[in-house]
Amino acid sequence: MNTEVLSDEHRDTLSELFNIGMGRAAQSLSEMVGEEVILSVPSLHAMPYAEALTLFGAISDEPINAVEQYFDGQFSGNAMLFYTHSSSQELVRRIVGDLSSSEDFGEMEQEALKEVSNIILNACFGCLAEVLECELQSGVPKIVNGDVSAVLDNQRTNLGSDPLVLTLSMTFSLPNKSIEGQVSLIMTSESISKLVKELERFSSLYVM
Amino acid sequence: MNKPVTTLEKVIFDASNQGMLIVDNDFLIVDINRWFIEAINGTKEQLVGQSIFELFNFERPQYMRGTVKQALESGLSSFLSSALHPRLFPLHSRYQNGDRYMEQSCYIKPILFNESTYCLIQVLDVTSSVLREKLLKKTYNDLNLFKIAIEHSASSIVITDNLGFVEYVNPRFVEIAGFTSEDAIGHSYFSLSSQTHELQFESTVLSALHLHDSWKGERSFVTKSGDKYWVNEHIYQARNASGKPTHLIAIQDDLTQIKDIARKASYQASHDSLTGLINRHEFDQILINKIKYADNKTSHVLCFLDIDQFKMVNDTSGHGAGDELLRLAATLFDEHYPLDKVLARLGGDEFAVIVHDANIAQVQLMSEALIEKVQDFRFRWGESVFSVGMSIGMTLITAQTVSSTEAVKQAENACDAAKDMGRNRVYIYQEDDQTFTQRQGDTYWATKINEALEFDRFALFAQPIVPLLEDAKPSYEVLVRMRDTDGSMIPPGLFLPAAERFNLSHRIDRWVTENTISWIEKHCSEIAHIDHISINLSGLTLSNDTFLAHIVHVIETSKIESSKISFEITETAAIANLTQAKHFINVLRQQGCLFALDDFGSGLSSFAYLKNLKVDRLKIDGMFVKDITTDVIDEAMVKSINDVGHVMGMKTIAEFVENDAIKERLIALGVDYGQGYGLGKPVPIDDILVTSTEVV
Repeated sequence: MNTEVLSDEHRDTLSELFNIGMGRAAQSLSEMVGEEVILSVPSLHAMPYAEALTLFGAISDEPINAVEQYFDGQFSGNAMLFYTHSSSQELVRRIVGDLSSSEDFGEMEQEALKEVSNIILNACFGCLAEVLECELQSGVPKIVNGDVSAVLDNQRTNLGSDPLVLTLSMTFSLPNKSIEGQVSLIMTSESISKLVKELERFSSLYVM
Repeated sequence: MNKPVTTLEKVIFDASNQGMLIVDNDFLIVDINRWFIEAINGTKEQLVGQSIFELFNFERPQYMRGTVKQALESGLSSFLSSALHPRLFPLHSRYQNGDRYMEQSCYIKPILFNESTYCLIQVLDVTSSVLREKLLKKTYNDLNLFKIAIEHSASSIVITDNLGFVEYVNPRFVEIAGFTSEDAIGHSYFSLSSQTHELQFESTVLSALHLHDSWKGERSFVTKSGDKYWVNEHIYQARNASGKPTHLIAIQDDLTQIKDIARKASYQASHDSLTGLINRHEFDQILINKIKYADNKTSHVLCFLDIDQFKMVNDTSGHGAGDELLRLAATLFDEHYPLDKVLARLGGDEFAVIVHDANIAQVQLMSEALIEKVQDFRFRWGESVFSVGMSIGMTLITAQTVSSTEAVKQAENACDAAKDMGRNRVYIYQEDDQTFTQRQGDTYWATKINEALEFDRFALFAQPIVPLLEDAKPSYEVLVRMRDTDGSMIPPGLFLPAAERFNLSHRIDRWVTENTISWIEKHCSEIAHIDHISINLSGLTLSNDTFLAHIVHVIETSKIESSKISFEITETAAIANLTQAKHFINVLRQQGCLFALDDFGSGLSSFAYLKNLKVDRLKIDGMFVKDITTDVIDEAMVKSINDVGHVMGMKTIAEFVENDAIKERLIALGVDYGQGYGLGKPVPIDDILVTSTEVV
């Protein structure tokens, strides 16, 4: 199977779209926390679910905190923003303020992480929908904790036998600190095909 | 009266524990559930149709508007957390009966109904979680703070379960005790420090905890590597909320350092810093115990030791020299007396020794040997060399000894008696000793001297100074005696030291000088066979200007030839008051009087001073003379003093000429004069007239 689902142009276009969305999200986050937040998407890949699982497992063997939101419309799937435990703590602490010195996340921290992730994910969806002029709806965010395999559990996400994963590495740049996160859009292969089709339509409109 | 149409969904909507609010594109309320109505305290009729931005005074209405718009226009759901939007809707909560602002989590999502998109705003009251969280955080932070305090505590802290099995040790404990957390955790605290009495300690502590919930005390603790240290320990019983004992908390403060300081302080308090010997206070304590536990079978001997030349060394060469002499003396004494003894410096140049389990005779021999050793010892300081003498007084410590004060006094008095008898000797205190029963110390003598001066109870004696080499005239040294109330004669050794101490010696000197001059005046025709009469002056008299003026006046007004008078001053007195001595000598020599330097050589620092002192005669210290026939060093000493004296134009006189052998040797060495029992004992001064008549 060809692992590279997206062509270079598709990737460039999507990166471009997501970076616009991140710009918007960064603006609302900056307003909210009162200091400058810059969000960027340096790389984007699409790969089969199994491969993504291996990749994420390689990135981190510590438990991860993820915020998950389903989306539905012209294409559907599960969007996830996940962080290593330590970077999510760092992020929340920087955004919420030094609420706690405890190792474990309290409810308030979890909620803050959920809201911040919701803003970012919504920005991604918003851009996709807006630029590709398609109908898209998102569900409410929820927190999923655990190992990479548990978080990305195929059974749980319920997206067919062999979904594809569109993964975006993203960086939160806060003053004096950069925090890494991963945005993953797990979609059925039909949804990806639809997305590719939409991208091609978009490209034909602007790149000729 | 139509009942309003209702559906199950509608019932559920109103029964929900969350606030639900549905708004349309214009932010107007389409529907609102009972939760919300009650929270706002309004009615449905009132609320439906109102804009949420009119109804609620949002802190950031723009943000709220954007989020709702995103749901309506882009179909995106949002979540607003209580952390980032505290009290989003200005509502009140009934949490814990309090009336306070409600903390909320809010979901905003698009809903499709009848082909139109509405926005559902769902509000959860999270006040209780927020408060609980805050409390948790505070507790956590407090705990964290306590943890830091414990981890940085200067005290060792150990937490065990209720049976004493270690659950936690702080870094200080690890540092001091040497047991790591791994070594300690799970082991019984009471057997960590492997000491024999630990079982007993454990039961002591546990019973104390049972009674008082705490145990406090000092104990030793053995480190992992086996070193012992002292701790002040406090062990507490920790109980849970229902009062059940759960843990033991042990806090140890290291006492080793404090003990060291205490030990040092007690050492300093009980020891003499100069010699390292124990001091008077500590000595008294030991003596008190000795007396307390004395029985009839054993006895101890207490010796009081006094260094005779100490003051001179101190005065002529400074305190550095004096201190060094004391240190050397301490070492010498320590080495001399048996190991099983107590040696102390009582102060100044006074030392004391308790020799355990000994009789007087043994210790007397020891002490005499010590005196000999000290006499042979020469103390060097820079260019100077001093000979040192000492006096020792002894007394027996038995069950009959009254007190430590009394015992020390007896030994001290015996020492004074030894000094009075001419130094370098041992004197043993005896209870029935007349000398002692009368002699209650110096004050006794001071009174006695004053009385003698008042009632003219002094007498003049004279001892001949005999020419050894040529057929010259003898001269006589005048000696003073005190007549006791019973008519007996008291030798000068007994009262002169007291006179010096009580500053009475110049009065005795004055009495002697006046009486000698008037005696010469009276008998001037009967002393033609006598070259001159020699008068001793004490060191203090040399610095007494009134005395000098008075003597000059007496000599001038008398009819005697001033060359008939000689004054003897000791070498040590002259050196100690060099400037005054020079002045004194110059004035009286101008009057025509002669001068002799007495006891020359006893300080051995003397040759340099000789140049400064214009004297006519040099009296060689008897110490070098008495053994001259057996001791080659003494002989060489006498020879060199004699030679130097002659080079400087002085006549030499040897003291202590006790027999003919000494006399012959002195003649061989070329000493000019001799004085001593072998040549003539002191006799009442008038007797020399009688003798002279006989001779003539």
